[in-house]
Amino acid sequence: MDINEILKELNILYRRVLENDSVSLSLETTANDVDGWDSLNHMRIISEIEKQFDVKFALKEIMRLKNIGDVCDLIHKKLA
Amino acid sequence: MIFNSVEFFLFFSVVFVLYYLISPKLQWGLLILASSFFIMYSVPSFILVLLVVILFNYVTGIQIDKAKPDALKKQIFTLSSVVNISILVFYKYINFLLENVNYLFSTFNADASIPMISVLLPLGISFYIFQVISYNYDIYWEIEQPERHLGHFAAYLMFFPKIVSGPIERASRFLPQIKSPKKFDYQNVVPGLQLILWGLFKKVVIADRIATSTDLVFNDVGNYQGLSILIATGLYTIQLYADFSGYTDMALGLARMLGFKLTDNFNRPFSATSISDFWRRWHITLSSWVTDYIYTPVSAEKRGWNKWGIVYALFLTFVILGAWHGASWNFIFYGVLHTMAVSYEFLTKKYRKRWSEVVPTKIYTSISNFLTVAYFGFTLIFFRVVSFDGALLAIRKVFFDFSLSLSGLGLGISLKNAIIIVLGTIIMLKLDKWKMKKGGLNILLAAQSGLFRWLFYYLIVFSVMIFGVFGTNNFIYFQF
Repeated sequence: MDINEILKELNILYRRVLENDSVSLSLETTANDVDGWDSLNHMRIISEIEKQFDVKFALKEIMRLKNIGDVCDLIHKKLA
Repeated sequence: MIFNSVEFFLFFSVVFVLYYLISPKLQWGLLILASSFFIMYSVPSFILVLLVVILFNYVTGIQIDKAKPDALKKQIFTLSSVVNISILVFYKYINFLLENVNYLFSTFNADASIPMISVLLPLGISFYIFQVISYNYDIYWEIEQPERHLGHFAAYLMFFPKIVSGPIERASRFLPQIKSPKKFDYQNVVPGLQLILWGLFKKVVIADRIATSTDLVFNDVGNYQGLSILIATGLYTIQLYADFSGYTDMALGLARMLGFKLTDNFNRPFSATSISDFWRRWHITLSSWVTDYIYTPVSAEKRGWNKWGIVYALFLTFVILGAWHGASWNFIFYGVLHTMAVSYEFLTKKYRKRWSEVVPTKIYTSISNFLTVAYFGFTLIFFRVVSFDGALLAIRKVFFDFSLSLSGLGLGISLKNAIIIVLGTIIMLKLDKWKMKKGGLNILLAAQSGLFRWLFYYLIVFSVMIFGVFGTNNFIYFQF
């Protein structure tokens, strides 16, 4: 799966978890840019990502995520 | 030495002149000397605790970064956290813990009677211990590099404008600033002076004037009726904001005069429409600290529990945030009350969203805003009243000993005082709102005409001179 495919899947996942169809992610998107993506929803999103892509993140990896690009890279690395 | 004192004015004037006279390469050294003097001015031995913390964390920071494999990294990081937390617990919570151990034994009819230990709370310890914990965390998570210049690292933790009550500044924001030489620049000095003046106004005209009444009521709750307590609670909410945001403005202003930009602690907290929203606007450097270093790791660890993992993380976060303020069950309960509110908001999000779609936006926002501020004020009863029983008595009185009679309120507020408090509060809230909208007091003032600017300066200076209450009151957050 390449980065663009991951990004597409993430976009669908974010819309579902945040119940917001206007979410449109790019690699530069951060939590500040997405309505509802706050610290309360962040871990719900992370655990949904882990389920959907069947991967497991370490705490250190989660703490280092700064934007969607980082999330895509991390998933890509785990799937490789 | 509090900011609004003559000693501090003299101290800062000398530091300021020397700072721009000496070679910029030596400025960090002057900051260390000045900060040492500032700290030792209260109790000389306080500096020893800080020096131990500086040296210890300077070493652990570098060692965490160097260590291989990851298991060793983790061990050094854990050791640093345990030591830092133990230092804070010893100075801040030891007697509270002993008291509770003694109490626990006495309930089993056993007599432990461990004697209390006489310890003084070192100046600023709650603030600098939090700063070193996050410093080690960031290196452990490989988000930041350790600082290798011991002088710069020491200056980060000692920096006198923020040592006593924060802001809790992240190393990643402060350390790059200390590495650049500072030249005298009106673009820093003028905004700095404006902030100091503005903070002084909040502190001496509003906070300390209100303090006279709230101290009367909260130090002797039993003698006041419900309405007095209700008014005092409202006043205390304003007082705490004026006091702490006034302190913060002065701290930011002093730092700015020396060429540093520190993080603001407030962003129009009384416009919040939920308690979760409130905590993104109130004491921001503390709330973002507990979010990054307690809430996020715990909620990540417990993400398998789904929404209950979040509630569990919220509980730990707010209890620690509450207890950070002081060693008492009241502060812990203050944290529990905020856990309850934020968890409620998290669990009922969908349900509340439906309501917000039915009720007209303006009404919904106004009601949410009122409920948020009222709830925060209510929790402050536990924050302000010293004993748990006293706080419960205050609440009982509001409900069961309430009379609308205005005579005998006993708040000790003359008509003149009431007018100054009301007008001062309106000016404070309006101006802080504009300030945050424009991105800073200096930007807001620069956009006005020269006449307006000078009128503003005169108004503030004369208010401080004529209506200011001087001398007796420390800043509320100095005790934490």
